[in-house]
Amino acid sequence: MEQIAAQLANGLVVGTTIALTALGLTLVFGILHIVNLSHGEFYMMGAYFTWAAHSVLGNFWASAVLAALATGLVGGALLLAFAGRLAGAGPLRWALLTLGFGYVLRELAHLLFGNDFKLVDLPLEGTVPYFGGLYRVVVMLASIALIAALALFLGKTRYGVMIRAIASNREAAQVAGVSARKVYAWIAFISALLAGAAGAFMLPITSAYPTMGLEILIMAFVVVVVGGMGNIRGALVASLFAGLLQSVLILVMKPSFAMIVVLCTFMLVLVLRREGVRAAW
Amino acid sequence: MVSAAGRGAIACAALAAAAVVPFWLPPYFVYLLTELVIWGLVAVSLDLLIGYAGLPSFGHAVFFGVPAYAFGIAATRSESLAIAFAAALVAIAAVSVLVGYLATRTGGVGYIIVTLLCSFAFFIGAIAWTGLTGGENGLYVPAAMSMDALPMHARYLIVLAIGALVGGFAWWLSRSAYGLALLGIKANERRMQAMGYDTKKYKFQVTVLAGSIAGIAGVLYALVVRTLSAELVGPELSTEAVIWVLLGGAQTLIGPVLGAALFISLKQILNNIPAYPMLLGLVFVAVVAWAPSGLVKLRLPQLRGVRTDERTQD
Repeated sequence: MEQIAAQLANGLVVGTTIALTALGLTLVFGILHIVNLSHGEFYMMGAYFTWAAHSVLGNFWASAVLAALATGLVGGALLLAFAGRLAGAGPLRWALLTLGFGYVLRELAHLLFGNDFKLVDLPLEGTVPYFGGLYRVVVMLASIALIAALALFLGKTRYGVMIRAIASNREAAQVAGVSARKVYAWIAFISALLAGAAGAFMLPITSAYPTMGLEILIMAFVVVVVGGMGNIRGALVASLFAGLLQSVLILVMKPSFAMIVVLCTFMLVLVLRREGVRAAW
Repeated sequence: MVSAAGRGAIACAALAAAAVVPFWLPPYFVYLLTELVIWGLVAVSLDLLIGYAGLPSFGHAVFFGVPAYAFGIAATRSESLAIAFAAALVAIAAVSVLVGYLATRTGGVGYIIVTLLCSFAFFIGAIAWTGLTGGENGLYVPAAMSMDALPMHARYLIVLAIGALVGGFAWWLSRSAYGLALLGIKANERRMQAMGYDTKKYKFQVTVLAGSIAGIAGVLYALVVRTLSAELVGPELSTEAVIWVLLGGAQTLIGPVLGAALFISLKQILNNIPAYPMLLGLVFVAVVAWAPSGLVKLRLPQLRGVRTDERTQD
């Protein structure tokens, strides 16, 4: 029983991490129409940046914030650098381009940091009844706070209105004086920042290694597809479900089989519920 | 511009040259050429999807690798070639229908993501299910169940003949009314629907068809190369194949074959340099950003009335 409770709590942590990553993916997809296959590498970047900042600063939380911001800037700039050249290009070319980014970023991480695991100590010791490690609970709450902040930003602020305007009708929004350029820059930055934050949060749990982004990328894509492409609420629900399902399944089978079962479950959802998976554009 | 008859003559001459010239080459090169023909077949089948139907498959390795594995698994467990071929046929049908169904169920971009996810799923499965696939050690097709008894040139000629036959079929298909309908769907799906075409059916059919061609290539691979590993169903091969097609020029059929040959030859040479993945990534970026219509795109005449500019497709 205790084991199941612990795995459920772990599932919530994994779920919120997937949610953070998937949110960035779905934002950049819904508004910039980019299928970003390097999103997992942004996640990896967040973890490595945190590790690097931590070895200089010594403070985990400050390092995490700096790393998320740095990932937002680097990742966002990377996407925007090619946005002009690929203007009007279909999803195929974006997917291949970002796949190329992924190769380059993974190899850069390999060259800079080596192949071994980079770990930092848990910044918070102690446990919470039923939930396990205190750090996990704090990370979960921080992720939820980030998601809530994003929802407020999109829903209530002036920039949020501009972003939604561009998303729903770009031409009309531009005619009304919204700068598409600015909105794109914001979205690229926020998207990469969310992935970076997720990577930073997971660093003390999973440690950092060059290929860490692959698994999270798969999960994020699964929930983005199943949640309805570009649909934020759907992605959130699907993330939590995926995290819980995977964590519970790990109790009874090999992690790789758990992953396959999760994939198959979601494929089944895809088959049964087609309106949830229609592209939003 | 070359006339249709002229192009036919060129194709025949090229095929004859491909059949005869290797008799003067050392066996190792003939072996490499055999592999290149197999990869060329994969490239052709993927071009049917990307270039003609506008369906960007990022999981093409599944169509290739699963039948290869099915053949290998059956071959190691039974003495009969017939059973092995039957298993491969069942696998070809099952995997192309399954992935085709899932992929065409979602809209345009869903096709990319769902095929890629399928490739991941089979890749993880191939590594994890060690009892069936040999896991990371891979699977060896027994020599008695392969083409090993034949001399190298005979193997090459058999593969070339099958490749030419299937490739010729793909070429014929691309020129037929069916191929035109595919181009129409790629250019403007709504308009095709308005004209009464069941575009979903076309997309599903062409995915199954292309998947089957890739499956034939997979079985040939199992017969010739004999070593099967999880990479054969994985996302790396899947996405590399997309680069072959783009590098050679989509919607030309022959372009992707040359793209595959160029890419694989370069890979053979560069594989050992230290930062190879970085180079690979930069190639992807460079092809997409600066050579979107292919390095060696042949100037084939555009089909009348069908606008197929890649930039206009979404």
